[in-house]
Amino acid sequence: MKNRLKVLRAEHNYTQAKLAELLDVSRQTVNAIEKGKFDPSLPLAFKAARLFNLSIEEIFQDE
Amino acid sequence: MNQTGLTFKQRNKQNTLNLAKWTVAWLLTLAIASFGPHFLWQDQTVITVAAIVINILVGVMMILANKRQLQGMDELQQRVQLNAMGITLGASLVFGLAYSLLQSSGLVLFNEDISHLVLFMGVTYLVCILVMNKQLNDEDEA
Repeated sequence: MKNRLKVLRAEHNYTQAKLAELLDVSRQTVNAIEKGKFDPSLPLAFKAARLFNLSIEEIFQDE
Repeated sequence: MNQTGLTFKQRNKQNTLNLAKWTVAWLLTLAIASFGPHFLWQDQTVITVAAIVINILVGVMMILANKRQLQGMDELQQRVQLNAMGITLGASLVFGLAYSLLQSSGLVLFNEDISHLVLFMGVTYLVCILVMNKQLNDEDEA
């Protein structure tokens, strides 16, 4: 699954640590999602969508 | 932050510290139950049974602290732990039974002990965690 998390994070001037804190996960998890090594669960995807005020599809795309 | 008012990092740290405390307590009660009968209370059965019961009770608390710590992790960390536990369980079963076969056929004369299995499981678990974390942290960005 592809995602725009890194781009959105940069647009909002968040570090991985800050984004991790806002999503209530570890920094390693944010890093793994950005690198495409880990696909988040639906609740975490919703949380990210709420944070950036976007729909899930605007952040995560099926490859 | 969640309903506890703690950040993920703080909650994780608190759960890990709690687990460490119960693990140390369990190890101490295990040591007392192991060496006490011989060195402390000269094989008095009642005290030995009491020491073992206390060890089991503290062990249950350690298991609960471990469960709490796992539940406090995020989904990726939980997946890493699950994979490590699955590999450890499988490896213990496969290699444990293979060793048993080697021993029953007389090819191995080494006397096994339950502590060897605990050590094997511990090392397997640790290696799995390290390898999986390394794979995830490659190309890490601060």
